This record gives sequence, C-alpha cells and structure tokens, in this order.
Amino acid sequence: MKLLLLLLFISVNVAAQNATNLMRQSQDRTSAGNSEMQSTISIHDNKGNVRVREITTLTRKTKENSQLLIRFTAPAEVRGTTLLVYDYPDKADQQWIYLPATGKVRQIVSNEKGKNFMGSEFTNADMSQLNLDDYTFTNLGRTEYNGTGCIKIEAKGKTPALQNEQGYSKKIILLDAARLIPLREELYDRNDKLHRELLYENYNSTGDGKWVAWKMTMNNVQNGRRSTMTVNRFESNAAQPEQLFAPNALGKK
Amino acid sequence: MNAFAIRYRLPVLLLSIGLVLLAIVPLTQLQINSDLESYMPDSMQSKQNNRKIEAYFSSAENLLIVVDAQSAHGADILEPENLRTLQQLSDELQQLPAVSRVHSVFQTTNILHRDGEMLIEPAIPFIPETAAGREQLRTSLHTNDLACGLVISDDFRYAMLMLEVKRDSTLPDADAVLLNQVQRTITETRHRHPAFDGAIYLTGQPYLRDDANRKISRDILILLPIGLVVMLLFLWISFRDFTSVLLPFSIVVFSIVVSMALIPTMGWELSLIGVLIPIMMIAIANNYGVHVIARYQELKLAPPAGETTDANHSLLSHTIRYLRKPVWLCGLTTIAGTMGLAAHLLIPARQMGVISSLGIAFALTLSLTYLPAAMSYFKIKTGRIHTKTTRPTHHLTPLLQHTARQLLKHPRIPIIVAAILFVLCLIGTTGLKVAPDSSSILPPNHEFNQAIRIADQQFGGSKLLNIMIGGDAREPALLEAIDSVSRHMERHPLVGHAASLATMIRKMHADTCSALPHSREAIAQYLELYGMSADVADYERFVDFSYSHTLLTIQYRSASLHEINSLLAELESTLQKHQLNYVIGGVSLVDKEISESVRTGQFSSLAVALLAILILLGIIFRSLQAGLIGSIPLVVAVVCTFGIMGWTGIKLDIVTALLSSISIGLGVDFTIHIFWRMKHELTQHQGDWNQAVINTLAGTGRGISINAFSVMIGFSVLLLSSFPFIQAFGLLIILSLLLCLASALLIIPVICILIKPRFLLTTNK
Repeated sequence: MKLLLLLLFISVNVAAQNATNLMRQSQDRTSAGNSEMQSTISIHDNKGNVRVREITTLTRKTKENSQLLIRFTAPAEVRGTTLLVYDYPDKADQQWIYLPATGKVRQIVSNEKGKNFMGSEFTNADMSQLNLDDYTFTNLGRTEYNGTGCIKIEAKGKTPALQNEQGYSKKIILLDAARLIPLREELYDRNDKLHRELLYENYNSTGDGKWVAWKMTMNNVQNGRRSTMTVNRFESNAAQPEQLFAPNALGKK
Repeated sequence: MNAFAIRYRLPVLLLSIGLVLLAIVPLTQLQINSDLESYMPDSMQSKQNNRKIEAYFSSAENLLIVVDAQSAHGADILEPENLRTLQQLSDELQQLPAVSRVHSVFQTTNILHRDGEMLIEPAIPFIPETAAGREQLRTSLHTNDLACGLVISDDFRYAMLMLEVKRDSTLPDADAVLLNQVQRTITETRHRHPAFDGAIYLTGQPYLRDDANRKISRDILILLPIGLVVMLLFLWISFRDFTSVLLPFSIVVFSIVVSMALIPTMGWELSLIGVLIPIMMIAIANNYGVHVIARYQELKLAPPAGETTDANHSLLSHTIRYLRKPVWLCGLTTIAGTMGLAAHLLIPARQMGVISSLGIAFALTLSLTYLPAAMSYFKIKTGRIHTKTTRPTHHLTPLLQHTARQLLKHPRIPIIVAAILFVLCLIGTTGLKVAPDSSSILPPNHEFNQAIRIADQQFGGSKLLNIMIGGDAREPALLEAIDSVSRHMERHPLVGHAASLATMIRKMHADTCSALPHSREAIAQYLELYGMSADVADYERFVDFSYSHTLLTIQYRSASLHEINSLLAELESTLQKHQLNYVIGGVSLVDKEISESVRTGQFSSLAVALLAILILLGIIFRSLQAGLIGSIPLVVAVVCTFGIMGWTGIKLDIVTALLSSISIGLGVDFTIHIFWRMKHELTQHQGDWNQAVINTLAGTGRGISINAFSVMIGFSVLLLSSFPFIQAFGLLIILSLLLCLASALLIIPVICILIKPRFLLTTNK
C-alpha cells in the first residue's frame, strides 16, 4: 500500500514537473526577445460594431524587466499616442502614456493585470509572459485540436490574490505536441466558468527556432465580444536603443 | 334557477366541486411578481426610454450596500480592520456570478497631477496601519471627488458599495439567489473580521423584489388561515349550526381557489396587490350565502302560508325566489365597483379588478345554485338567527329603532354633521399626497429604507437619473454642453452628484487647463488613455462602444413627487437650452411614473366605478334620482376617506389607490338594501314615510350592519400584513365601509324623509 502511495506521489510530481517543463519550453519557443511588430487590433462588440487600431510594438528585454513600447499609427486622431510598459516579474508594472494632443507624458499606476488592454478583450496579463513560478501546472494528457495532436495543460495561479490580479482562476492550454507552441487557451473566471478563449493562428517561424502567431483572437464567451490582433510585419532581434524606452523620450519621434 | 338547482342538485354539486378541483391544477403554477416596473404597461414613457438607453448602455441594476463603521471603538471607516473588511467584502462580492461589477472605494481611482505627470492610481493604494498613514489617506480621499461623497462619506463613517447586477429575467428566483449569496458573503466576511462590529445595510430594486416576494408568500400563508378562522368564528356566532356555517364557508374557500387559479390561467402573476384578492374573497364571498341561510332559517321558523317546516325543497324555493333579485343586484353592483379597477393604469390593479369581479361572480353563482343544492341534502337547524322575525329583541334592533325615531325628530342634524365632516375632509384632501417611490412598500425602519436615508444624507442620494445624449462623444462642443448641464444640475438642491464622460476628461485634463480640451484629437486620445487606465466597464458607463452616445448620470435625494417633477423640468429645460438630443431614463423615473399613474388611475377607476353604480342604480330603480341619491353615501365615504388620509398623512400608493373602487362596490349594497326595504315598507304602510323609515332601519338596518361588520372583520386581517401599505388599506377600507354604512343608515333615510323620492313609491316586483 505504502509503495502504491509512493508511486502515486512520484507520478503526480513527475507530471507536474513535466507540465512546468513543457510550459518553459513553450515560452522559450514563443519569446521573440527584442522585436518590432506592426499589427492591427480589431475590437468587435456584441452588436456587430468594430473599432480598429493600428499599432507598432517594440519589445526589449533587460535583466530587470521586459519593456514594451506601443505606438498608435491609426486612426488619425490617436496617431502618435504612445504607451510604455515596464513589466517586472516580481513587482507591479510601470506604465507611461504620451498624448500628442497635449504633448504630455502621464504615468499610470496600476497593479491590475486583469484590466483590458486598450479596451479590447485581451488583458494586460495576456500581453506579457507568465511568470512560471507563480503557477501550478498540471498535464491533463493528450488531445486533438483541429487535426493536430496537442498536450493539454492546466495553469492555476498559486494564490487567490494572484488569480484576482490576473483576472482568471485557471487556464487550460493546448500546446501543439510537436512544436510545443500554444494553439488555444481557455481562461476561467473565479467561479470556474469559461470566460474567454484565445486562439493562436498563422504561426510563422522567425528562423531562429522561435514562433510568432500572426493572428490571435480572443473571444469573450460571457459578453459576446471578440478582439483580434493581426500582425502585419514582424522583425525579430531588432536593435532597440535604450533611450527609446525612456519615459521622458516618449514625445520624441 | 332555484328549481333547476334543486332538481339537478347532484350534477350542480358535482359540477361546482369539479370546477374547484380543476382550478387546483393552475393554482400550483402561481408565480409571485414583485417587480414594480412590470406593473406598468410597456407604452409607459420611462420604460420606453429605459429600453432606448439599454440599447447602448448596460441594463444592469444596482444593489447598494452601506457599511456603517459606528462601533464602540469609534466611527472611522479608515481604521485598518474596517478597511480590510470593506476590501474583502468588495473582492468577494465581485466574484459572485450575478454581479458584473462592484464599485467601492477599492475600485475607485485617484487622478493626480504631480511634477508634470499624471498619475492614475487606486484611491486606496494600500491600507495604512499607522495613525499618520491614516490621516494622509484621509486627506487624499477628501480631495478625491471620485471617492468622497460617492463611495466614502464626508465624515468617514460610512462606505458605499454599488453592485451592478446582471438581471436574468429567465430565472424566477434570480433575486433570491443573488440576495442569498450577498448575505452569505457579508456573514462570511464578518466572520473573518470579528473585530469589525459596524452595521451593514442593503437597498436597491433586487433587494426590494426579493424581500417583497418573501413578504407576499408570508402574507398569503399567515393572513389566509387567520382570515378563514375569523370568518368561521363569525359564521358560528351568527348561526350556531354546523351545516349553516360550513356551506357558506365552503363558498368562501371555493371562491378563493377559483379566483387565485384564474391568475395563472390568464397568464398573470401574483403581484403585491394580489395579496388582497383572497382576503377580499373571505370578506365578500360569504355575503350572499349568509342571506340565503338566514332567510331559509327565517322561513323554517315561520313558514309561508300552505307550507310546513318539513317542506325542505319548497322552503328552499321560496328562499331563493325571495332573494334572487336583491342578491343578484348586490352582487352586480359590487362587481361593477371592483370592475372600476379595470380602468386603472397599473396592470396589477386592472388584473385585480377582473379577478375579484370573476371571483365575486363565482361566489354569487354558487350561492344561488351550489348552496341550495347542498342545502337540499341537509337538515338545516334554525340555530341563532339574527332576523327581525325570530329575534325581535336583538340588541341592535332597539338601538336602530331609537336612531330611526331620532332621525324623524331631527332630520337635519345628520345632514349638518355629515356636511361639516364632508367639508373638513374635503379640506383634508388637499393634503393628500402620493407616495413618490417604492420606499413605502417596506416599513420605515427596514434596513432597505435605512440605507436609503444614509445614501440621501451622507452620499449623493439614493436615486439615479440616466440621461443618454446622442452625438459624437469626441466633439468638444458636445462635451462642453454636457459638462455645462452637469454643472448646472449639481447646483440643484436635490442633486448630490452628476457624472459624465466630461467629468472624467476634465479630471484627466486638469494639469493642462481647467477647461475641457478644445480639439477632437485630444478627446480621442484621452478616451484611449482612460481605456488603458480604467476598467472597460467603468469607461463604458459613460460612452458607448462607437462613441455615438454618452450617458450623464444624476444622483439625487428622495423627494416628493412635486420636487422630482420640478427637478425634471429644470433638467429638460437645461438640456433643451443646449439643444441636446437626449433621452431621460432610470429606475427612479419609473418609480415616479408609477406614482403618477396611482394618482391618475385613482381618478379614472373612481369615475368609472361611480358612473357604473349610478347607471346600475338608475336601471334597478328605473330612476336617475335613485342613482344620484344612492351615490351620496359613496361620495361621502370616498371624500371622507381621502380627507382622513390627507389629515393623517397616509399616502396614496399602489394599494391604497384601490380603496375607492372596492369600497364603492361594497358600500352600494347597503343603499340598495335600504331602498329595497323602503319601497316594500311604503307599499305595506300606504306611503307612511315615518313608519317605513322605522321598519327599514329596525329590519334591514340590522341585516346590513351585520353584513358590513362581517366584511370589515374579513378585511381586518389585513392589519396583520407585513406591508405597511396593506395594513393602511385594511384600516382605510374598514373606515370607508363604516362611513358607507353610517351614510346608508343615517343620511339615506333622512334624504328620503326630506325629499320623498317618487321612485320609492312604485311597488317592488
């Protein structure tokens, strides 16, 4: 009996380790490092109205944080509006925004990664990578999605506070079993009801073993809204001068 | 009909009982509906406006939770344990499936301008543990107009949590489920924070509906058995014979079953007003059967010529022949009165008019068919009969005879007394007020109303108006106009707070300039900024997805209907001055329109009931004069009841507004009986008016007094209701019936003596 329990414990532990390792590998394959991307965000409400934003996103990795610079290129009235995010693994993000109409930089202090990103169904948390240490991963076995063999992994925030901050209680991730890249995620609310589903499509290889999804669709199943982010141009390993990512440089072209 | 009912007594009995048994099936489907908004037709302006607003903005309802930090240790909501309790409550409530959003101080932002940068940060970034930290937070909250007076009171004693509730009309018990979860969350939070010993109050439409639903069920379950027991006792005291008690009582029970079953059969639901239906049946349904039993017992003691006391069927035929016409007439006039409610604007009032009329018609039919059919199977004992023939020394008789003699001696005194009372009450009617909102449904000390009082006194108010304004929200001119309306309305004494997109943009723009931005680009960019820094739900409270509509919300304090109308007039004139394309809505507007419907519906149902009675009396006695004289007791009763309401401060509301139609329908019976007997006595005594008055009061006067008291006893159980307005209705209907009775006994005979109407001199057929 003891032996059976020991075996059971070992197998559960191995499964958890296995799931965490799979997620780590997946992050390695989808993390593009320094990059520049032009994309279109289409936000659809539940009545058929669409709001379209075109943005250029620059990303830069440092030892302390990931830096994200998002500049609006369309529509004309918001062109030049720029958002700078310092995403720290161990503390609250820092955000600055520059509004060209006022010529001023404003800092936004917020601990809530669960807030919607630019009014879309994506949240700030969706825009940054998971801190793997904050989650418990469980391998739920193999499955098939759109004819592709997948590994199903459950990711659960370790504390209720973290779940609150991220805006979901758990994620079910379908990883392409061959490439270990996510194809679909289901995000559940604190009542364990499906809240949103994220679909990754049109993966392109950056040539260095990394993969970038050129289309991501987030469906909010609870309010019927949908947002799509389509990549129009992507450049990996782009040289990102440090001064571009300084808050006081936001107004400078 | 009597011969038919007795000849075919078995089929008549089986049919009657079968119908009642059949009615039990739909009765099990009876649903309770305490949603006041559904009481108004969809054509109602405020409902239409709300639908228009809901096409662009969330249709969520609000549930307000007021936290009072008052305890033995002080009354500071910023004490760490109080804030922790508030934070946990806020977080836990946000997780409830039916709650789409919680707005508390922990969801509130603070927009600061510092060193040329704007900081949008939480109003409470962390819970201060030291006194110095607490004072720093107090200063910060004091200057944060998104928090102070909105989610935290100025004196820091109270905090308010506003829950936006997803309304699922497909779930019949959605309110109960929500309230259960909210109450459980509050209890658990208190359990986890035992050091918090303040009070927590709830208010809002979901709470009102849930509590009213419980109270409707409680009223039906408690009042109905008590009413039935009271009626059983009354019948026992009257007849002292098992069969004579049981048969009219069975008509009461059958009428309740059938009338309540009619509600789901018609596709309706039991409303707050519907509680009155079974009690009305208890009070009214035995009226006709009691007359049949009493007359039968009377005939049994003194059989008509050629009949013996054992000729059961023949005596029953005599009874029914004698009573058929007056009983039908009384029933018809009662139905006509209650049908006056069908002209009411409130849907449940109309439904009640139809249901109670059908219920009374059913009781009337049973009294003339089922009752004689059943009686033909039993030996009815004479028991204690309160009739002139058998109990000439009944204590009421000498009193009424004495009254009659006094009336003949001093006929003008009752007229003068009635005129003085009438004038006083007429003056009192000028003080009659209409309940302006739904707060009168629950007792004043109920936590629902306590929370409203705190919201009115310590926060911006407990009521909300939503003004949807069409046009491109990014246009500076439009935003400027909205801001101007908002600032103007904030100066109104009733208004506590006005908020719109302009408020948010102004706050974000404050470091640059005190005015709103002048370019479309700047507004569009501020909208993006707001979208990035706040919740989408927060942002979309004020502007729709496509920026084509904005919402201005005005929070105001409870007030009288007149004051609310003046506020609305001011608002409309300001909106028109700025040539804005607007729609005004909000729950408080529905409340206001319901109150106005109560007032107008009161007059329309009163007019219809009076007209119907006037016409019916005219037809019955073939004289317009009969209609006019017969309406006098009703007018006196109605005016005096309204006058007393005015003097005592009892307001007209959805229930008390039903008074006049019901009391007219019941009160007219007394006059019909008096007229009927007067005609009979005048024929018997060759036009001797004085003798006719004495005999009428001594004979019929006693009968209608007993009848009136039985109805009053029936209605008296309403005094035990959980709803103050149903208690008030019970009191007022008793008063109104007493006035109808007094008028019929004192004024009608005096008028007859003074003007000797010709229609009374024609022979009864």
